Amino acid sequence: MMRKTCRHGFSFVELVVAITIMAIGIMPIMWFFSRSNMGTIKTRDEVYAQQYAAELYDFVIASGFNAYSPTGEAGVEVPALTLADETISIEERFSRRLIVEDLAPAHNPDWPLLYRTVVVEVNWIADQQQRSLKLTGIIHAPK
Amino acid sequence: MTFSHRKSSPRKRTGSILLVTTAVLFCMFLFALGYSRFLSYQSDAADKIGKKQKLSEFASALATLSVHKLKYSAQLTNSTTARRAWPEAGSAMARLYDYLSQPLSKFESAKHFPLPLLDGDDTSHLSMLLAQLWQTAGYGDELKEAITVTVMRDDFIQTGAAPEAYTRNKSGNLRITVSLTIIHSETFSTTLDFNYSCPVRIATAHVPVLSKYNLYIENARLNSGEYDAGYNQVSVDSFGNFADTRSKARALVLNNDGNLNLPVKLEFRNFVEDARGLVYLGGDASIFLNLARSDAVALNSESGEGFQFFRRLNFDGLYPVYDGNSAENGRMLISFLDQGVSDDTDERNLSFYRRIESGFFGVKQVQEGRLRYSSIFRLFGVQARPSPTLVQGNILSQYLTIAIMKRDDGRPGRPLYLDNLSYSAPMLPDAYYYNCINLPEYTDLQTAFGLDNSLDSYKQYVTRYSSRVNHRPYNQGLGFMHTQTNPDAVALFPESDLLNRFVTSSAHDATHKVPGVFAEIYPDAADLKMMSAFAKGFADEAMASYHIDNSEEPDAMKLLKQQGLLSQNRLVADGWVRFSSATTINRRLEYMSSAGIVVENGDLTIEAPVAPAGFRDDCLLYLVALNGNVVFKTPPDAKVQAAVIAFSETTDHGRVVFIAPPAELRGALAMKKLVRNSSEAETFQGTSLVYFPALAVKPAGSDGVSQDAQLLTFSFGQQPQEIR
Repeated sequence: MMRKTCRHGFSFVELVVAITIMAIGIMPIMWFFSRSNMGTIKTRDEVYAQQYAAELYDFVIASGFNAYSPTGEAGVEVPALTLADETISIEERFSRRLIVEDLAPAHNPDWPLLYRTVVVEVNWIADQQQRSLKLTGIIHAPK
Repeated sequence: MTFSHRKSSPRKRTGSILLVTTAVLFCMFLFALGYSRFLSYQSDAADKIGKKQKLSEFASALATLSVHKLKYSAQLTNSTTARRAWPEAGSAMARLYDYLSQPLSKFESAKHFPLPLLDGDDTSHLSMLLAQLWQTAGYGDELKEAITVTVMRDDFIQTGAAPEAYTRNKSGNLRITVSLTIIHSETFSTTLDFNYSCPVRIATAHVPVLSKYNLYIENARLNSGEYDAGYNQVSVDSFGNFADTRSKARALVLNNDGNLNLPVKLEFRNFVEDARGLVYLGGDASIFLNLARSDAVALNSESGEGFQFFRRLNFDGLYPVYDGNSAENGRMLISFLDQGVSDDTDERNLSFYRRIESGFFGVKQVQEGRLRYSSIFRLFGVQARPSPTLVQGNILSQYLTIAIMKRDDGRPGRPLYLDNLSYSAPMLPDAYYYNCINLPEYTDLQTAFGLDNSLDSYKQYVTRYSSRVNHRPYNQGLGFMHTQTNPDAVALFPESDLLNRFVTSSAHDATHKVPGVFAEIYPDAADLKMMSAFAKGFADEAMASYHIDNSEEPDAMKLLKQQGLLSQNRLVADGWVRFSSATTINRRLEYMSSAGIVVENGDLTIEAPVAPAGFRDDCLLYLVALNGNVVFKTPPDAKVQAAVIAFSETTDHGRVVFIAPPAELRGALAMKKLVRNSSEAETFQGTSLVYFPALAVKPAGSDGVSQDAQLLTFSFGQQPQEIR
């Protein structure tokens, strides 16, 4: 007497088909995750850039009007700050530039204050694209 | 063991691998979708934070410029119409200033004021600043700004020494909202608001009660034991001009109404409520101030005080004082001719002294009263520019009186000069004096006035009828200033009015009282005798906007420069500045708005002119020494526009010392003491003290609004604080 086979699992063919479908289906998702990961890195870099920019900006503002002379339009690279014997550097992927310029120096001879613009520009490359963040403010001092 | 067998059939299969795969893929898709949205949100958030941070710094720059506009634009307004630190009329800032200058009780719970940066006088230079800022930040027309200042009543508290009387002083915070709108397209824009707070202190350059006085001296008496004629040190010639070769001392000449030429009125209230400065010379005994001689032919003498005497048709005035009947000549009059003092040696002057010094008492009076020298004060101004005011304190004016007896019928005849009786020494037997009156030429006098050879008659003659040194309440001169041709000056003032008491007596309670509407300012200050009763008006630390610790550095200009309060030698302090230690203003100081400089300990020395800058003539600077002296060592042609207070809790300080006085001091003077003894009075160097009429502002009436807006200072913080 022949025993009837009970089919509880999947056939090999079914598995092959399923794996194929899964593979085809998962590829865009994996690609998507990969892209998302890059987006995360981009976001992280932006946060870093903001932090680097704010760090220098606040430092310059706190240092006072005369701590930094006008730099010209090209500005100066400031890759690191030294605070109380501790040097804080930015990652090599980033570059950070400080531009200080006199603000309309001849605007009014009687005006009792002098102004300078303070621009901190942080540049980096993300996803093969040049990215940039710029903070602009003013600093003043009595004439 | 039992096996159950079921017949399997495709229909009975409960799942398919395709279904599972699809489900898994679907789940993964959903997860990916969610994850994507999460990352997208995260990315957006990071992007927004970045943009917001970028805009935040930009907004902060705009807020800073807004505060600077508030702080400096008004000060830079150099208008011949405003004449003070006030924004251009009609500008948005003027509306804010108007609102802020109101009493706090008039504030609404919240009031918003647009503050366009390009508005008013400073449009051109601020537009340059903004254009460059915009360009530097990399923005163009896509970014628009709108700045709003919000004044909330609950953000302010009323301040000031007498907030019920002078109601405009306050301090608090302005709320500044910088709205930045990024225009993405014609129909889509994004607006971000950044909120800031800016402290502001609104205080008047005014000291309640003391400011009403052009000259206030808490204790005007010289050293105890000195005869209180020690102030009489100034030489004038017989025409009433200053005799500089004979006199070390120079007079302090008061102009009590700032050249408003306010006339004498007949009611006490007028003097108190007019825009004129009063005078208070405190002390517990009489002070005799000799009036300087003027001559009828020198109508504009620079130092004479003839305007305080009876004069008729510009000639010396002879006015009848006593009348009696002579058996031989009928009605006889004793008339007086009053004259100020001079040490000139010409006959015109000497003839007065000759009549008085012919007797011992006359000599004594002339010598002890220093009756050849006028006082170092010209409290009512000088002949060329009389300036009536109310003089408080037990102050008497002293002068010479020539007595003449004549018939009243006008018949020609040589009038009889009633000399001081001649005798050589006191303490001789009384009979000697009696005989003096018994001289034959005095027959008419004896009969007309009932004199005999009694001691009483002698005394009556010497004290009433003879030529002599005379004195009267200082304010009696007001009568002749009102109507110089009226011989009875006292009768001009209604008996029912308080002013009548001032012109008839110098020793009454009211002379030390805080007058009229000013009396209620400090309910606890019963009178004027203690300067400390008014100290809150100038010594309160809370009213200062700036504190400078200068124990190591006395150069005020250098310190002010370091603090950013001096620009091109111009004081841009828009409030009260306190120095901890002695300081010196050694270069010309111009101020852009009303303000105050207070030295807590030590002297405040002025070595250069101090004046408002440009057309800001309605501004005033207070110079205060809290525990020291205010010392003037200025060039002779210097002008100082400042109200000066020298205070001290002790008697060692609190003087205004004129080592080298300016040519003119426009403001007011208040001090504990001017000179300590007659030696200092002998070398006193006075100046022209011109009252600043805005200081006379009255306290608020029933409407709760005091009229002290002219002297308000607006002190804004220089750096706004962001409210997150």
